[in-house]
Amino acid sequence: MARPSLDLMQGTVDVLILRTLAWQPMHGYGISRFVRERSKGALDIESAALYQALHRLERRKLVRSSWGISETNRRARFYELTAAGRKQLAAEREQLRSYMHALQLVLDPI
Amino acid sequence: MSRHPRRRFFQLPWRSAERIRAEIDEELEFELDMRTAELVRSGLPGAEARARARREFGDIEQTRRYCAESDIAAQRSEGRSEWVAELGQDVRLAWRGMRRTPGFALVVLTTLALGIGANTAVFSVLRRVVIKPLAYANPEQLVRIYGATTRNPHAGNLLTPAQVEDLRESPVFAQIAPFGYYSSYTYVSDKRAEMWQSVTVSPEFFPTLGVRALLGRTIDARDVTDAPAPAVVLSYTLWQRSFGGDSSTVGRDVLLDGHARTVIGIMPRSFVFPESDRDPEVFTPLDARAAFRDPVAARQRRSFRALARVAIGVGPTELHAALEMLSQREQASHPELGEGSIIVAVPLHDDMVGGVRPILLVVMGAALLVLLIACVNVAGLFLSRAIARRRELAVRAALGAGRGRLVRQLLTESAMAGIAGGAIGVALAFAAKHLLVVGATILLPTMGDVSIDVGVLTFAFVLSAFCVIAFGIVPALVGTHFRLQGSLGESTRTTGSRSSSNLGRALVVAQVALALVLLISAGLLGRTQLSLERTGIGFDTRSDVLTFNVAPSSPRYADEARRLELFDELKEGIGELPPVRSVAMVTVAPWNGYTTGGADSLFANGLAAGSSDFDVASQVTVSDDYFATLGIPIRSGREFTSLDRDNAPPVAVVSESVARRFWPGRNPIGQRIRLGRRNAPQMEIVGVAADVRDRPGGELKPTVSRPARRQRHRLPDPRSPRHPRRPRRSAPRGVMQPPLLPLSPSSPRERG
Repeated sequence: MARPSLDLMQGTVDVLILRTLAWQPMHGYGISRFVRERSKGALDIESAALYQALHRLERRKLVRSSWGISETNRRARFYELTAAGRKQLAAEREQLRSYMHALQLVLDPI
Repeated sequence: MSRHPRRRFFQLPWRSAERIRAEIDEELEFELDMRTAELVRSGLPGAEARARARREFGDIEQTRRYCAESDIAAQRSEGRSEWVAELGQDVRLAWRGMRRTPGFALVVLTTLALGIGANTAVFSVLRRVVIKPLAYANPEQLVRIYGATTRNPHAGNLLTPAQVEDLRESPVFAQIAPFGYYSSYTYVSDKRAEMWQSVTVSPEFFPTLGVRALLGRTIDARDVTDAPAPAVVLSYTLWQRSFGGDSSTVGRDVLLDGHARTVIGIMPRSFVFPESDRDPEVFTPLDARAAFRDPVAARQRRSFRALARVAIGVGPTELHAALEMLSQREQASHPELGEGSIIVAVPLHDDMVGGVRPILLVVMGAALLVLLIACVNVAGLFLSRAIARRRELAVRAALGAGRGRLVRQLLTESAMAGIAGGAIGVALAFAAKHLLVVGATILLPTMGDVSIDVGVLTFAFVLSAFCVIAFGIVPALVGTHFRLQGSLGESTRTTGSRSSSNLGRALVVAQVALALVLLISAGLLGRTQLSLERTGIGFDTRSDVLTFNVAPSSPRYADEARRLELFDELKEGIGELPPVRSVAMVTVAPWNGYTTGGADSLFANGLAAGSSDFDVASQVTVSDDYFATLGIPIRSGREFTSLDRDNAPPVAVVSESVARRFWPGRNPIGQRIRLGRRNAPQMEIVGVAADVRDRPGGELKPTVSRPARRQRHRLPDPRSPRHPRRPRRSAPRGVMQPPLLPLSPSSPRERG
């Protein structure tokens, strides 16, 4: 029974990454920090899951990576959204929104 | 250029797996460092912060593995799709290039198509005739058995019935299948007469070959029991031609030579008669035992053909030894047979196609040589094209295309040319199939069923691939070997570098050399053909000789005297036609199985004691004027006249080889010979004629000619020569009266 929740988690991580990169190209550490700050510490992506998700997304051509210089003057791998990634984000956002709406209907009946 | 030029800038260059792993390590290290720094800033001591960062990270090793696998797989599929995209791009480029220069494309495609087409066509015949096994059960076990003499072991003569019986007792054979006489029947129905070529076969014949009837059954022991049932088996083609493939033909009675015979079976279409220059249409039972009614004749008269299935596990040496032993035993127990009579076995496949194999291999070699020339030619064309396009290629190189990429583009062009040329070539071969069948029929009448199948197509494909490599690779390598600056700076009137012009010269040299080899071979072949035509055939090929068959076998001509009368009438009637200079009759005409038919034992009389007086010779019965009509030179003595007929003393004309064999350096005129048996009537030699070969370059065989004589039993024999695929119905009107006499004019054999 662990699988469905894992899938959900994975899907959520993916969409969080895509949403973050829609803002601007970022390296992995930047992404996790951004998510943490934006969610006011409520969402914390495990680094292992984050990097696996990034490479998976790159393989699916939703993001692409290149090496650049970080704010601390170090070589870092930056990820940016591709056109396909942008499309995917819109679709998943819609899906997630209707999912949350459905959840809300069940959990908080008016 | 890539179809998506933008992508090139973002795309990472190809990375090794090691490099990919190193980059992942660096990426993860960066994460850990940043996290550690963050924790340190929040007040944790360095070492503890580091440990905590690691803990928080999760499974680092698994992540490392996962990311590396993902990246490597991504790179691989990226490479593949890019390769496909580039291939599509190259194909489009090549197509545009070809369309821009239709002359170039036309020359290249025509050259390749002709080369590949010729090879495919020749190979399809080669495959059918030489490579494919015979269409019998376990054909490798089948052998053809011949009688021969130690002096001429390849004579390919008939066997005596007694020899066949001896063979039956030998343990090296699993089955012995005698078959016998070729003949013909006149089939009459609805006032129409047809001539059917026939052969007698023993009940063992079809089972030995392992072939079954398509309908009904083949000839078996029932058909040769005491009262021979009048049974016949028909070939598929005859069944189609004369009965329209009607399945009720089996069981029907047909009138052959005025006698009713029952059709008991139809052979399948695929059945090929095992003697390749014959194509009999009717199979009748051969009763081998009937030949033993005269035991002396059974030992001396050569009347049977035979093939055999060798017992399992018997090799060629054992077979040879067994036959040698058999021959020696026969010599010892029947010294009267004559010295040097042997029995030889030839693998059936060799026997059927052996004569054609070298011809086909030579033709195949020539075709390959032509293809090689074609390849060199096309290579030259591609090279000059690549040189002319140097500027274009240099521009592409300057824009970032690697040399490998350019070579690939040029190779794509040649591969396309190769594929297109191959396709057109195969189409040509298909179109020429009819010609091939005709060609194959001339070589082997019963082997005409040449098909273009998967094997042949594979051959064509491999050949095309070979061509692509042969003509594509060198121009591609040379064409892309340049210095950027120089090439870009060149004017449009580009000249080749030294290495490419050297290569061009080398190609020209190769082409001329190959063409020379081909020319010389063709010249040699032509000369051989000419000399074969000019000499050694034995009769005058310059006169226009027409031959045709007459088979007066209906009841009307059952009487010998009536038959001879008919021949006289024919001879006279035809001789009166204005353009006819002379007319003659012969039992088997040259080039129609002349020397393979009716070979029999020949004994010479009155030779010095101790010298061998036995040989095997072909025998033909001829009319007056035979030698003059065919233009066979009489070396000494005379040819037959009307005085030699009827009750005159028996005479013979022998070929030079007979004279040389028994009376070397002496005049054989006046000597006496016997045919078939030692106690046969003697014949006096009245003339020596030139040797006649059955086909150009064919085996030279001793021949004895005898005049048609009224009192003998063996008349001008209606046993007729073969007639490959020719309508047999039309009788020239106004030549002769008998309405039921089928005349079949054979090919106007002009010049022979």
